[in-house]
Amino acid sequence: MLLLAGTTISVFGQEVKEKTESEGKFDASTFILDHIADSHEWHILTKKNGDNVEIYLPVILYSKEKGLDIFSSKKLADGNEYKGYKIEEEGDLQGKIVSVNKEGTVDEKNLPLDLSMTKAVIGMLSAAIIGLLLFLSLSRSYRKSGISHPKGIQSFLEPVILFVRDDIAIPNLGHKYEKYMPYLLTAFFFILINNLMGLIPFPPPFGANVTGNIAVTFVMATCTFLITQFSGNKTYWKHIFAAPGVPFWLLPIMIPVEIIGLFSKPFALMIRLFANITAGHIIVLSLICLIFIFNSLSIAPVSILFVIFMDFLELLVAFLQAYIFTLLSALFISMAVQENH
Amino acid sequence: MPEQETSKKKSQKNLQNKGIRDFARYSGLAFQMIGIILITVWGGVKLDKLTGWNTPVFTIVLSLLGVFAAIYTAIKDFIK
Repeated sequence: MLLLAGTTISVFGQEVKEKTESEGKFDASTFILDHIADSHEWHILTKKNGDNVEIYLPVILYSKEKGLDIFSSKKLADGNEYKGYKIEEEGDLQGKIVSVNKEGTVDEKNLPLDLSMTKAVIGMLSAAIIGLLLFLSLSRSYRKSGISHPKGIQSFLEPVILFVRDDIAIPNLGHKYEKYMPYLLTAFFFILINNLMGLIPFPPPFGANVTGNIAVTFVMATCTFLITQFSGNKTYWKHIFAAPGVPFWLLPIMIPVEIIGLFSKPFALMIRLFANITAGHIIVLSLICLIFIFNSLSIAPVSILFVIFMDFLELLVAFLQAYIFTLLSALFISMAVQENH
Repeated sequence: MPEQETSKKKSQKNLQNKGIRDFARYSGLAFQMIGIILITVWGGVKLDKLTGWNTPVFTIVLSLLGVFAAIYTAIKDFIK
């Protein structure tokens, strides 16, 4: 953990120093938001002469007129234009790839469909690969040695899997739990691995803010939503469209209310994960930025201590958020499949 | 005796789990209420723009419905 905090400081330190020198005044909020946001390139450090060392990620664009385009984001670096596309630098579309007209103006109505491999996508794919490697080796070791006392990677993963089964799935779903175990386990480990990878600042693919990206949490919440709706039984739908005990003249009001209620639960799920992880990243980055705001070395020890403390707290939050997301998914599914109240 | 003890431990653990479960459930309540109200108001404003009427009927009706829905779902979650 100490090493982790140390690398955080050194990596961000280099960037921040340059910014301070070149612009005279250090702008903490832009710096922090740049680090939290998704981007087409992976910034590593800024050299003393102001050059950036970056990994340029592939850009994949589709638009009706121009068709499919695949190129490196290096072509778009520093506000350059390539094949009629550029990265917008200000306004509502800041950071997004827009198409440029022949007159040189931005065509705001015909935005290209951006399917690029951005920072978050790379982070997410790496998390998926790490998860796959972990669990494939786990299953291989079970196949080899059978179910005996756990050893090696088993002794780490087996308790976690059993925890998801015994403390999340069975108490909520009862005897129907087996059907939903694959989803619950996938959600749990996907969120956990991504949270933990986001805490490690260096090198790429670590340090991307994947679970703090609202698009990612939106898709995860949508998965929970769809599974809940598709596993809903007769009682569940009856409670929505003809709740027992509700007079018929109230139904025109109650049905929309119940339908809004359906969407609000995964919405809360989406916001919670996003907000918790983003807040954690912002706090850690702000604490580091303190050094450069005060521009003094005496702040550094205090700041580092706080960062280490926050990193420990984030470690807890990483597990807690994975747990809460899975638990609530199980709870929502259980509400849809339970026989009677 | 040992059986009793284990069952006691189990029930204690269940109680603990219930506490955590309730915490997890209610911790999202605020987001849920805010979400409902935001979505309905946003929908109302959009619909009013689409129709172009002088009085913002949809904004008024949908925002009231949103507040009602938020309170209703919150209470329903509490009762369960």
